[in-house]
Amino acid sequence: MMNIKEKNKKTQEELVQETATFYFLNSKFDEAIDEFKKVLKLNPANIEAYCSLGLIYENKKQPEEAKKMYEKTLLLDKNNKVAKEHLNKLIGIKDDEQD
Amino acid sequence: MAKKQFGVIGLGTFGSSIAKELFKKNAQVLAIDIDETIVNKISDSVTQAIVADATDEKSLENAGVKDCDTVIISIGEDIETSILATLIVKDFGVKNVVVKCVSQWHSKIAAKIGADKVVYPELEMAEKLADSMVSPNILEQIEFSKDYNLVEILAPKDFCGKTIKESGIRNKHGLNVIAIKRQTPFINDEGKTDIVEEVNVAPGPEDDILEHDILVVVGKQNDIEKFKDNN
Repeated sequence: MMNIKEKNKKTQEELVQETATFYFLNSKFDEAIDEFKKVLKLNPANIEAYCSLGLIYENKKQPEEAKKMYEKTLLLDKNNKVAKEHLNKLIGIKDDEQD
Repeated sequence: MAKKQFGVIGLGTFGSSIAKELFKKNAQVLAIDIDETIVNKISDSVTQAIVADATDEKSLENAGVKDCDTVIISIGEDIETSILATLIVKDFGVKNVVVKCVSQWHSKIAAKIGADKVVYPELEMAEKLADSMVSPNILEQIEFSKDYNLVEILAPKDFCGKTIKESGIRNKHGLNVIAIKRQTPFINDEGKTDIVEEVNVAPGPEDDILEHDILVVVGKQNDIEKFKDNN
């Protein structure tokens, strides 16, 4: 029974994420925000949802919100390339500024 | 065509950044500082890195400063050293000498002794930062001439869904849109969501303006100011 429940939960998360991504790709950002938030209610560790919310907030010129989302993404996946690149860009760090 | 030769004297953050950037752009770069550690650090990123005292004429001559087409003096913090170095380099006959200054007095003295150009990176950055804080919708501003500016501005809400012509930006506001920057969502090679910036250069009057677009506009400073205040 546990396994079936777990499986259903995952499927629902995936379905909502699919809808959120659909809105995102069609630049329907307000709708995408609502859906990605639903994804996070179902799974508060969904990396993709945090990162996508970061991208949306960045695009909506809400840098503080975007930073929070990228930071959450990197807490869950410290090597996330998209979040790293966009967070650096928001703060103003150049990628090749190694020294 | 022979590569242009640049000399950079003083390798702090500004000096080393400009030296590296020039080298990346295929220029010959001679980088000079009195601090050996700094010189060693930059040696792989420039044509030649040399330890020398910027106030010692002989050292600078031996380093090959005389052969440079342009010399950038970036010793902003120590005005006395900066001025002496400028004098020496001008005496060498270098055609173009650029001096990084920290104050108006510094720039006046540099100009008196022959600096061809003075720059105030800190002051310029401070002005830019202040502008962006006061007008968050203005993303970038470049002064074209005394009266004309080029600015990147977030498309005002009432422009969204309209064409450039319908928006009246030219007729009502006297501004010309020379490019539209648009963030386009996509799925990258790893299957992750991402956003890429697409630029429509020289858009036509029938091109659409969408929400969150960034408009690159050229116009009179006064018209830009009015436009900023109304949006």
